Amino acid sequence: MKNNRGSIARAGNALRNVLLVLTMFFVTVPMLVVVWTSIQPNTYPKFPPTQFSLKWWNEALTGEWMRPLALSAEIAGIATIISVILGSAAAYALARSNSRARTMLEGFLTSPLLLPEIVISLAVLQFISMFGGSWLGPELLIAAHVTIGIPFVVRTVGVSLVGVDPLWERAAYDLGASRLRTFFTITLPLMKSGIFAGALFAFIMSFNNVELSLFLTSRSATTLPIKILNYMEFEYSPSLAAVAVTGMAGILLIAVIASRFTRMTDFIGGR
Amino acid sequence: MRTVLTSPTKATSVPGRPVPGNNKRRSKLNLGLPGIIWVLAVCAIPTAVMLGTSFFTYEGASVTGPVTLENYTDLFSDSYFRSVLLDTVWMAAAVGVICLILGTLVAHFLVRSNSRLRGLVILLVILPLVSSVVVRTYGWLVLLENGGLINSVAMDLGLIDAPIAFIGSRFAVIIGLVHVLLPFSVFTIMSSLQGVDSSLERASRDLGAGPVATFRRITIPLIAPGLISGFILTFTISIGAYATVAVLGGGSLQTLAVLVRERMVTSLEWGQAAAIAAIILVIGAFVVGLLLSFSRKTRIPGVSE
Amino acid sequence: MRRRKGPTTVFALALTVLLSACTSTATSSDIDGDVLVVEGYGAEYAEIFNEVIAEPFKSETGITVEYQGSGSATQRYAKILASRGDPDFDLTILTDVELYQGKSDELLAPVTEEDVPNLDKQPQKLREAAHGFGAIQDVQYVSLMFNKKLFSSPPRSWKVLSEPKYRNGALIFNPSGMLGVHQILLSADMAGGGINDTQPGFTQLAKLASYAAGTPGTSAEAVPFMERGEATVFPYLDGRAAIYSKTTDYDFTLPKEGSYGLLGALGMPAESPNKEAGYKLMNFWLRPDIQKQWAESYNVGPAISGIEFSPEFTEKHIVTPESLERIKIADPGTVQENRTDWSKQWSESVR
Repeated sequence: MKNNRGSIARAGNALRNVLLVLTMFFVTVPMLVVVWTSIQPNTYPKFPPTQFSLKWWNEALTGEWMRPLALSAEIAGIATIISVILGSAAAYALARSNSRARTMLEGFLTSPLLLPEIVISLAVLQFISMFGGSWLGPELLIAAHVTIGIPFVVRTVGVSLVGVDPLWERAAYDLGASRLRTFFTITLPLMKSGIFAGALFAFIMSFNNVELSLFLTSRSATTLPIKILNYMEFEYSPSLAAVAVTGMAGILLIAVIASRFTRMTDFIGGR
Repeated sequence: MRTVLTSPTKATSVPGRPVPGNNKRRSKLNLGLPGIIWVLAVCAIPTAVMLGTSFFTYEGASVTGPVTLENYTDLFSDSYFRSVLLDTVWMAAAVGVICLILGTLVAHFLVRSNSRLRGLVILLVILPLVSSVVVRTYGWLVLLENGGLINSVAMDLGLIDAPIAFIGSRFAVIIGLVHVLLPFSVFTIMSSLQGVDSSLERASRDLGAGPVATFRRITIPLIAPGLISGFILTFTISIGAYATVAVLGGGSLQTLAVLVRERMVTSLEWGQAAAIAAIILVIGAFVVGLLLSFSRKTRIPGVSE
Repeated sequence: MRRRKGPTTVFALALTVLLSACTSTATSSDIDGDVLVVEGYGAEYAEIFNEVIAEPFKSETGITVEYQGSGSATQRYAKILASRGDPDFDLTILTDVELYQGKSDELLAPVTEEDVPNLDKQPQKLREAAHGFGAIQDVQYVSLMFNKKLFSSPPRSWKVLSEPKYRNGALIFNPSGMLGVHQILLSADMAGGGINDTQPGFTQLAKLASYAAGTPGTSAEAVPFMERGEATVFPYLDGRAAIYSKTTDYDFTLPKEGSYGLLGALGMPAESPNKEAGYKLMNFWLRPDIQKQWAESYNVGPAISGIEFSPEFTEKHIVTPESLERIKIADPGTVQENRTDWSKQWSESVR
């Protein structure tokens, strides 16, 4: 009986591992295709891969592409910081409020995710044009990106606060710690994992955003994904793959640096 | 806090000091205000104005004519629109469910295993997220096209006689969306799983329950909030997704978001676009409300929300 | 009650610092009177524009042209629409369809011969297509692109599209782009219908769809089918067809039944503060020497009469009044009115 159960468990584990490996394949293969496209010489890659060329990288690593890349990173960085501050404050407030207000407010704060971004994009453009001003610029993009960053921060921080008993804070407070100290020594460390995860999401959502930015970009603010999209409308070149790989490497670098300070698994969620 | 059974007694409060979390509930809610104002000003009000105009007749960019339901009646009397609506909802649901299953699998591994590969798995999971949508879908295009990798390899191996038309099929769109959205469900489920004490699972196993039973009876109910947020996220993003659907749908497969864009940019029928957007919003809100109320009803006593 | 403002204070402080940091890093380029902002297609179009138009224009007039590449003409028009004729550009590259739309929405500035004297060199057909609210600057047509390996001599009729021999490599373009719209109209014409009776065209396309190699949304998406030699015959605009006829095994031709034209158009948002410079650029673009250079660089027909081209170029593109007569301009009003229905019917047919 016991043996039987053991073998079932082993079979289950094996099955789980196989599924896991398949899932990882599924996730990775298209990305490898993109990387491969950037280091072979044909415009439309042929299988099996035989040749190697860096010519697309020569085209990619120029000011034409690196400028929008830098702008995207700047916009995403500022939008992330604002989203994290606004979002974690809201999540903290939500976690400590009663459930009806909480459901309503959480629903409201996550509502930007429910709308097609393209609708928000045009609505914002139409709205600001009602006031006559041509407000297009990096600020407008940042403002818009913050609205889709907040829901992620609210969720991740909210989930990380779920396991936090408010009584711990109360205990610290009762033991004589000031509110500020309670916040920094008890609450913030508990929120940390959620903040990291939320910040990562917010950054990525902004950095790779296409649909929300579609009508809000302008001469002074053309982000990388929009530039790629505009380019693709006209023609496809593997140098776009090279540009995208560069952007991807940038974000991964941030993740790796962050993992030097916390373990990689902590970085995404949990404590 | 109604969810906690093992709370320290309230008697420990120092007299004269306000108790955080109770008396100060109002001041804590103020912390949410800046975020709310931001979303209100940048997103909610402009969108509400636009959705409001879905009840008017449009002439080009200008709202003319009286309040009318015409935009909606036009849509719902059209069998094509109804089929697109159904298509969108079931594809989004399929994406949500697949993400949930694969996400739980990956999240469980990441949280419960001590494997050295965890770092690598996380890295691989975020990969699709960090690459631009346009290029990521291009990767799928190269793989799934008629003359693409999968078809040519399968034909060389003699598995199929003629290329399978993946592009333009619901299958391709679902795959593409699961690919981008998987990280969302993995991370939401992970944070929730990390809040669950693994000794509960151990205890269940020590008491003789198999791993499947433990997972079903103990782990799943405990991580239900994470599962539900994960599903909500992937479902709602899927109904509104445009770029992935446009590329992998091959132009012939349409969803509500594709219709919105078409009405807005190509045929310039903004009244209808606004009406479709409103419909997407209602579907999303309905599903969120349904799942949240469900999650509250099934809450297990003694476990924090 | 001491220090009760803990988290709130920290939060407010951080937000203030951030907002001020954010506004100070924001960049905005000031526009003075000598800068004209033009928005058009990206990539190669932008390169040709800068070389053939922007640079010589600057050295002649002193006006700097700031060029912004963006998606499609319809997208740019949607931007004009959303901003009520006051987007962040002074002049934009559209097609005749958007000029018509701009006229009825009153969101584009009128353009007369007084503003742009070179319009008097333009054939009447093209003048009319601008509806007085812009200027046509080049003429493209939907050519029949074919795989040279499959044809000993160029096919002469659109009918080859549905021949069993070739239909396995046909491409059906999505009507989200004008090329797709033109393909619908062409198949309607071939099947005995027309712009007011497109049903036969859709029946035809539905039949073709079960064999076709693909349904590209943009002309760029058709390129892989050529690079891999999968496509047989399909409609394609001559500007890009000319490029790929040099790099692939494909060539293009104007079939005997004639074809549809796609007119490149310059439009100015009604509220543009820079109209004088905008008119100057339009006039410059319509000057014979610039027209010749533009046509040859972008592989399209000129928008004014009386320019001499090489015999090969004349044969391939819409240069002479006779060839201009062979292309039809689809009525933009009808197109605009039916576009949603067509794209719906298209999706149902192609599915």
